[in-house]
Amino acid sequence: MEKSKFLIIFLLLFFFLSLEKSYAQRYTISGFVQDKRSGEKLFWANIYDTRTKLGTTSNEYGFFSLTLPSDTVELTISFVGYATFQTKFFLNSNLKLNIELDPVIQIAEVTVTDRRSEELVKSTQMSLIEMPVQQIKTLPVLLGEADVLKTLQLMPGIQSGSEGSSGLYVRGGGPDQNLILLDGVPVYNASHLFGFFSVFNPDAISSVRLIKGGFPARYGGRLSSVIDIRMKEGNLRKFAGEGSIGNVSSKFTFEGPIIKDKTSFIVSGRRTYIDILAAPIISAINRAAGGSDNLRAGYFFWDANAKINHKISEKDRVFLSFYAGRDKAYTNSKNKYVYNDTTNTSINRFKLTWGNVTSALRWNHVYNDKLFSNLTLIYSNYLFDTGMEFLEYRGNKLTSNYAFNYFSGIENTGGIIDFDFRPVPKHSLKFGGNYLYHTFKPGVSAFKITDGSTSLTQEFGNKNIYANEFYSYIEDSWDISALIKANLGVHYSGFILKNKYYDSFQPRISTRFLITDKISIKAAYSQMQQYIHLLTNSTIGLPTDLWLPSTDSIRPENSHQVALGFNYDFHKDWDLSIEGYYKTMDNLIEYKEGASFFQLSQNWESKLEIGEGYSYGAEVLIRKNYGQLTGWIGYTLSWSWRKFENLNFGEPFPYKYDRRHDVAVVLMYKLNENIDFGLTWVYGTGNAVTLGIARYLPLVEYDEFVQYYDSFYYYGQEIEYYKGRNSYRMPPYHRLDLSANFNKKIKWGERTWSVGLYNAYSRQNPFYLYFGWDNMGNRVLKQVSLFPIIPSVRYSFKF
Amino acid sequence: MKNIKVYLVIVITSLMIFSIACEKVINLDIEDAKIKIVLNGIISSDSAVIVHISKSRHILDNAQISFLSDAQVKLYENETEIGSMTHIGNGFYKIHYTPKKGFDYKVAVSHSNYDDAYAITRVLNSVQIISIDTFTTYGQYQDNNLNFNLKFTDPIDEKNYYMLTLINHYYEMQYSDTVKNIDTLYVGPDTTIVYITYGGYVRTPRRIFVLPNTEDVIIESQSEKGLVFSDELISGKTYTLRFYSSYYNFWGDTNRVYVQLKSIPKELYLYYKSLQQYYNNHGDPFSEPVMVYTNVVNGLGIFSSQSIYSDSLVFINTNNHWYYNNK
Repeated sequence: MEKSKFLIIFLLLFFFLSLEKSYAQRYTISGFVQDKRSGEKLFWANIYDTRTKLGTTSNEYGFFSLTLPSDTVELTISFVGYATFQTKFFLNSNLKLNIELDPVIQIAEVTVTDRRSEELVKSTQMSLIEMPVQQIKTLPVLLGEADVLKTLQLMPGIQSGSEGSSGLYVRGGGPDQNLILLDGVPVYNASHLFGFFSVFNPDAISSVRLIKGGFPARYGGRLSSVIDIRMKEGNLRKFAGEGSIGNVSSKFTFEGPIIKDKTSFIVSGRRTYIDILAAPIISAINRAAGGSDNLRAGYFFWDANAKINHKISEKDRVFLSFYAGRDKAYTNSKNKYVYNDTTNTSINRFKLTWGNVTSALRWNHVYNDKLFSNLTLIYSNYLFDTGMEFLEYRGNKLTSNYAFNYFSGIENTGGIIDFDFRPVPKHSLKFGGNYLYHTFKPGVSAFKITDGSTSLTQEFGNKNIYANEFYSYIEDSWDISALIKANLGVHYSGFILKNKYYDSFQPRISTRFLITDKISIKAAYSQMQQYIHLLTNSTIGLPTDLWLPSTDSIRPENSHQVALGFNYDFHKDWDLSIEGYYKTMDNLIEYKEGASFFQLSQNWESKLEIGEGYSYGAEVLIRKNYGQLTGWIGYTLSWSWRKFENLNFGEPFPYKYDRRHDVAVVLMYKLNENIDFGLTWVYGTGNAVTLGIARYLPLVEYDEFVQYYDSFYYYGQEIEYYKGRNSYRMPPYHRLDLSANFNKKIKWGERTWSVGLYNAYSRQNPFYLYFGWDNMGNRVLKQVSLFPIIPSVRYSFKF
Repeated sequence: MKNIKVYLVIVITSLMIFSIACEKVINLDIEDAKIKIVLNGIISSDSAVIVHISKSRHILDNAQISFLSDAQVKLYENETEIGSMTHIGNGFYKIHYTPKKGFDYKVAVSHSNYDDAYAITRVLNSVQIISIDTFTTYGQYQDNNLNFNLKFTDPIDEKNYYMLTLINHYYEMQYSDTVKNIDTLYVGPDTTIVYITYGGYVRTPRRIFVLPNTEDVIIESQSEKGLVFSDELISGKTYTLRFYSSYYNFWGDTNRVYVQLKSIPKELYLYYKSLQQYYNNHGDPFSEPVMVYTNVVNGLGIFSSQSIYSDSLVFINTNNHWYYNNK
């Protein structure tokens, strides 16, 4: 630790000394990169001078600053999905340059610089995945619901959990180790419908970026990944809308200027209608089965996004964004009967709801052509609530009422300040900090009993916990030479809970060595610290998962990751990336053996075991970015282990989602302007589960009677023998999905019919295994699968 | 709480049905599912060594459990062979040899059809009970409890594991008004004559509970067999353990309750703890399966020891109320 501190101080000193060096006459080009049609800013666009080979990227708000020698400049500005802009001029003064890029409609016909490959090879950032939203919408998916997180699962190093789930397991980490940011605001449970869909509506999203290693210093608070999702800002120039009607949901997005080129808005909403479709069926089945008079049961979710974007001046912009989403599963039953000439009614209700609310107010300010700042105030809230109620009426009079509720959640308020500073050509600085006030609600139960004249209401469980979290950081993207570039940074974070204070000094280093213009080698080291933990039931993913703070006895999780990468831009349409990584994780939590969410009587800390994990592996990604046929092949070879003193008798065991081989083939073929096809095929080693392989007798102490017992006496007491925790592999998972989109321009806009087949060859993939009996009375192992072949159809429109 | 679970399962199941969940029988692909020798036994320094030998069966095997009656079982003391153990019925093997405290004992089992297995344990010194205090608390619904305060000193500088059990010892008689098997007569309060068909002393374990809400922090597992704990939090200290037992299963006129503080090796502590967790959670889809500890090399089961320090209390029934009498 001390050594790394000295190293950082040395590097910073070296950097500041290097600032003293005088440079030839240089000027700065600065401005914003934006979409030509909507005026929306384009994040992470590439700005590159082909003569000096110096370049930069626009930041999260579209701003860039590039200082170059006074000379002829050949500037290339590119962004995936947009036609590349090229310009040549003589630079003899500081220049404001706002660049508008045209969205590419017919990719095959446009000659573009391969921006992705260039970025891949030349940037210091490794382990980065950028996913164009249009690609997310094109690929085949379950029930035709385009899904941001499920598309990310198709990339190497990012694994899905169980069938259909949108949970992400990045480089052997858990689902809680992903910092999911929606417009900079952390989202705590990013799943709808028990994980089958993510909460992000692609129609409201403008960009998705995932970093799984070599983390820049500006990010912190989670161990395994950062998923930075940005909402659209709203069209500044014209009103536009898009929507779709699918098998399970419909959605609609509308955006436009409030004041042209100054203020814009976007609103977007989505709701499922499984409940509406299923209600009459459930009711009919219930009546046929002789159930209660009136049973209603169902499930639905909705989510809504909204954003206002206002340009105060050339130097100031504000944004206000909002997201809310809710899932609800419920049953209501009502029984009526007549007793002593009085109609009695009994009502049973059950509900399971959960959802997020997030909001961000952001202010961008350009101080000058070298300094930019962003201030964000954030709020987020995740709440899980389940309960049941029983009511009994005699006539209209309530005679008894029993209710039980359990709720948990996490709420955050805080602020973030970030600065971008370009003091000299070879250094690009980012620095800033944040503060978050957490309110943890780790599981409270409430009983309410009204019976005749007696009434009792009682709450018990864990009280709210309040904590403060903050960080500050500085990072420098440094062009050491034409061949060597580095991003050096430090991230300092702290966490205060009552009288307990944890802090962490985290060095981050990413370097790139350019072998040729097309080949580079990258290496990175990052240390991460995470002050909040997710206590999750390991058998099925439920929203009952609890977010919990670090306490006296539960220390913060931390990780160290080293990664080495090779990037080769071997063809104008193709690129190749190979990465290897090794990651260690400490202070991971798990339920104690046998403990679960339902044991309300226990304090949550007493249910936990603390241990460590380590993972390592290699990832290969071959990508074709342009042409009629685009797509990628990803392969991951990985190992992920956990070691807990009191689990598996202290022996290391495979993580549940330890997956030796993970393959994804993703192809998109554009036949012509109107028709395109999508194909994905995935293969993964089966999940690791704990499964009995034998049975045997428990200890029976000898007494004068026991010798006369026959084997029948022991029958129910037998013990199942497990070779080890997660020592059995489910059968491998593989699936083929197909889709076709039929686009047509119509007089008011554009419409698309999308048809899809999920699991096209109807592979019965394992969801869970259990021991049961066959028709002959033999004990057998049974596999339950969720989704056979599922067709989908969706009608989308755009105007 | 159970209702919540049921509803949750219904909702999840409904969703799965909606998703056209399907089920099929699959092959169980197990690389290492050989049948193993199962060795079970607890030895102590006050009785002859008896162990039980059986064999495991494949998880899908429907056949009855088989004891092994033809195994070669040998007892070793500090690696020196003491002798072969003899099958005495239903898988039990015995040797008339009393183990000594502080010595290691190994039982080695071989059988022509299965891999040889063995396990080693050490007989420990018992830990003395300093005192036992009792008092009765009276519940609302005649759920009267017999409370205990048990004081003992954990030996310093060593890791210790314990099991606490209560044994109820009473004279039981079975009555009949028709069957005349025994000479002794009993005249009931209504002067009817009943015959005693059986009479004898019975020893049964008493269920022990730790106090709710003020749960003793050192207790790590509780079951019908007793309380299991380690000295993790009380190492080298004098500690008073609080627990209670119901009056419910007092029988007859006089009950002697034996309080047994057993010093057990780590392997038995791990076995009891994991076994109880296993039974508590087996079949629960909301928790991970629990692995039961075994110390048998190449086999399964538990071979361990216990050293008992026992004290007893006598309770007498007077007009349907139980009173503490004396030791």
